[in-house]
Amino acid sequence: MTVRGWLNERIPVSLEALKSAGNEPVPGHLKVWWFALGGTAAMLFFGQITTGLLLCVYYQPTPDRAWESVRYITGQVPFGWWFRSLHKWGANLMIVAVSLHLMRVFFTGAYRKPREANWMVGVTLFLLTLMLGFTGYSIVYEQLSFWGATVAANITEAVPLIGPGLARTLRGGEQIGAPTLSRFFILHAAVLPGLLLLLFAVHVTLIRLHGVTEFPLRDQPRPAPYPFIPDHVLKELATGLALITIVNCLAVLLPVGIGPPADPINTPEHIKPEWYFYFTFRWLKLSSLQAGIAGVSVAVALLFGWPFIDSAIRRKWPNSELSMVFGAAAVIVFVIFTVWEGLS
Amino acid sequence: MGEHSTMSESAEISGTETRASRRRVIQVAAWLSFVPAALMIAWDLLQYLVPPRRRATFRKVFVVRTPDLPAEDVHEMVDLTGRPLAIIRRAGGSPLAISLVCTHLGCRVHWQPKVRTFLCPCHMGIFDEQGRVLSGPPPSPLPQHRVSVEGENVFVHLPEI
Amino acid sequence: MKRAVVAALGFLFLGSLVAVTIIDASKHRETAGPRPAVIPADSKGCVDCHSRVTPLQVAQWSASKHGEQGIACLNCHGAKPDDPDRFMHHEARISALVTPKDCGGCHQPEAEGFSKSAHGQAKPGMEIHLVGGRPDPKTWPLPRVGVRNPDGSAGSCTTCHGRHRFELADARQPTVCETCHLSDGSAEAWRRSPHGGFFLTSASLESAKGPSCTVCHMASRTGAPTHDVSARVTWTVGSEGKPVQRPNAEARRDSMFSTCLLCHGSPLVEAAFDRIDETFEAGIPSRSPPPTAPYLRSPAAWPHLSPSDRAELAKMQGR
Repeated sequence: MTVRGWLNERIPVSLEALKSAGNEPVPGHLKVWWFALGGTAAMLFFGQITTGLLLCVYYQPTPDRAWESVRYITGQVPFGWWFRSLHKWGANLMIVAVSLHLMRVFFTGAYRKPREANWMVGVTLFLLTLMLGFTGYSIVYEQLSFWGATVAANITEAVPLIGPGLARTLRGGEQIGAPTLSRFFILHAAVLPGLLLLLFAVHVTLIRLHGVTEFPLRDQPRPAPYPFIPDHVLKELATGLALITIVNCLAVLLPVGIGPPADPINTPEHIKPEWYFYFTFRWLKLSSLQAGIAGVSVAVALLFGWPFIDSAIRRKWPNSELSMVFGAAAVIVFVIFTVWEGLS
Repeated sequence: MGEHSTMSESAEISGTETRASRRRVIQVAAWLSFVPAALMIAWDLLQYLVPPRRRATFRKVFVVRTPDLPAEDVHEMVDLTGRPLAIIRRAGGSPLAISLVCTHLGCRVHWQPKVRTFLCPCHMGIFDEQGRVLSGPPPSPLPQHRVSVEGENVFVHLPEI
Repeated sequence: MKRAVVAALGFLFLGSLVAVTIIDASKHRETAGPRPAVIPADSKGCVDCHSRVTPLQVAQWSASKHGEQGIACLNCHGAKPDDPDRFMHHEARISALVTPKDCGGCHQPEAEGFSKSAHGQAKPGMEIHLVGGRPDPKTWPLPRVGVRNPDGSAGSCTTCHGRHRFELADARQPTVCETCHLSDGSAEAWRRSPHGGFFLTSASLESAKGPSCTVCHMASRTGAPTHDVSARVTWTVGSEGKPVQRPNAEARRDSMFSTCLLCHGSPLVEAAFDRIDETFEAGIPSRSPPPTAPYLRSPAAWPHLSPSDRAELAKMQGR
C-alpha cells in the first residue's frame, strides 16, 4: 500500500480531478503585471497575519507594558527586529498595493455594471486596510502613536450628532488610556483582519462568479488565454518570492526603530500621522474641522458610489471619459497633498 | 537529403533532450534554494519563539537592621516572584534566610516559636530552625538564600526574575 | 523560462535570508531594561499614593539603587516613637526630616566623616525648630548645611547627594559644590587653575582630564574615600579675612600631599605646597570668608535669633 493509496482511502479526493478542475484558462491580459496588484495585496496580507501573530507572542497591550514590549521585541528577542520590520514594511507595501489595485480597477472601468457590488466590497477592503494601519501604529504606544490617536479622536468628536459618542467609543472613555489600547489591539489583531478575510472571500467569489473582466489592450490583438497550472501558478510563485525578497531587503536596509514612549503630559512639537494619512491631514489643515470632515466624507461617499455616478454620466454623455478625468484629478490631488505634508 | 533530415531530426531530438535536461537542472536548482530557505526560516522562528535559558542572577535586597530582628519570632518577607521566606536570627552567626515553601508539595510552612520549628499544615511535615526535615513526608530540607551582613544591615540575595 | 525566473528569485530570497541571519548575529543585544524596584510590604501604601501625588520622587527612588535593593520609604522616613520630629501620616509614623544620623544608620563611615567636617558643623543660632512635630517653615527647608537638626546632628546628606536618586555621579559633579562655594571664591579659584581648566574641557566625569572637587577633597588612593571634606584642608579664612592654619595642620598637609601624589610627582607637589604656604603666610587669601548666601545676611532670614546670636552670626559672616 503506497502512502498515496493510504491517504486516498481516508481522504477520498482525486488529485487529477482537482488539477483539471483548477486548471481553467486564465485570460491573456493577466500576464501584464499591473493586473496582479490585487493578488499582491492578498499575499502581503497573509504575510501580515503571519508576522502579526509572531509579534503577538511578545506584545503586551497595556499602557505600562506596550512600549516596553515593543522595545523588547526590537532590541532583545532574536530576530524580533526582523519580524517587526517585515510587519511594518509589509503594511506599507500592502497599502501601496491596495491603492494601486484600486486605481487599476478604476482606470480600466472594471467597476461598471454588473460589478458595482464588488467595487463597493473592494472600497470597504481599502478602508479596512487603512484602519488596520492606523490601529497597528497606535498600539506601539510611542509619543506619535499616543498623540496621533488623540488627534484622530478629537477630529471624530467634531463629526455632527454622533461625533462625541463615536469618539468616546473609540477611546473607551474620555481620554486615551488602557481601555483605548485594549480596543485598538483587539480591532487590529482580530476584528479588522477577520472582517477583511470575510470580505476578501466575498470579493474573490464575486470575481469568480462574474469572471475576470476581459480587457482588450489598445491596438493589440486579444491575447490568448494561458493555463492556470503551471503557468499562472509559477507566475504567482514568482510574484510571491519577489515580494518577500523586496520586503526582506527593506527590513534589512531600513529596519524599524522605536521612538520615545507615550507621555500624556508632553505633546511633541510635530505630530504627524503615518504617510498614508498625509493627504487627509493636509486637507484638514487647509480647511476648518467641519469642512475637513465634510470633505473626507464626501470623498469616501464618491468613492463608494462611483459606479452609479459613472453610469449616470455615461447615460447623459455616452462615450464620455469624465470618469478618467475625475480619477486622474483625484490621484493628482492625493499626490500633491501627500508630498506637501511630507515635505512640511 | 535523407542524411540531412536525419541529422536535423537527431539535432531536434537532442535539442529536445537538452531542453528537458535544462529544465530539470533549473527545477533542481529551484529546490536547492527553497529547502535551505525553508530551513533557515524554521531555525529563525525557533530562535524567536524559544526563550533563552538565562544564567541565574541574584539581587541583593535589604531586609532589616540586626537589632530589629525579632528574637523569638522570624522576620517574614517575599522574594522577587512573591514566594515567602523567613529570616531567622542565629546565635553565633549571620541570620539564615529560609524559604517557606514546603519541599513536599509546595504548601506554605509556619514558624512555631515555642518549639522553634517550621510546620507544614498540609501533611504535617516538620522542619527544624535550619530547615532540616525532622518528620513527615518532605523529601528534602527547606532551601536557603545567601545572606550577607554589612555592619548592622542584613541583606538577602534573591534570584532575579 | 518561468521556472528559471522562479529559481533565480529563490536564490535571491535565500541571499536576503542569509543577510538577515548575518545582521542578527552581529546585533549587540542591549542589556535588559531597568530592573523593577522591590517594594517591601510596609512601604507599599506610601508608593501607591505617592506615585500619584509626588510621581517624580517615586520614579527617582524606583530607579535608584535603594529601590533596587528594597530600601524603601519607611527605611529612611520611618520615625521611632521617641523621635522629636515624628508625626502620624495615614497610620504611619514618619519624619519629613532625613538627617545624617538617619543616613548613618546604614552609611556609618560616611556620616561620621561628614559630622567631623565643616559641612557637619552647625552655625550658632541656626537650627530647625519644630512646631507640633513638623519643621517650622521659618527655619526649613533651606539651608541645611550649617543648620542643627532636631536629633542633634547638623547639615544634610541630601544637599550634595540630592533626592531621591542618590546617584554618585550627581554628587561628584563640581556644579554641586559650586552652589555654595562659588560665592566664596574657592570654586572660581579652581576654575581658573589648570585643574579646573582641564576638567572643564573634557566631556564627562569618566573622561576627565583634570580633577574635580571630590577627587582632591574626598577621594583616596588607598581605598576608602572620606566625607570629612576639611580633613585635607590646612588653611582657612580667619575672622579678620586673613588665611590662618586649622588645628592639626601637619596632619592635614600630609593628607593633601598624598592625595596630590595620585597624579603628580613629589618634587612638584613639594614645590607647589611651599609656594602656596608662602602666599598664605603673606596674608593673601585664595577665597573670601566662609560661604554665605546673600539672603542669609538679612536679619529677616532668622527672625527667631536672639540679639547675641545675631551678633555672633554677623561676626562669623565677616560683617
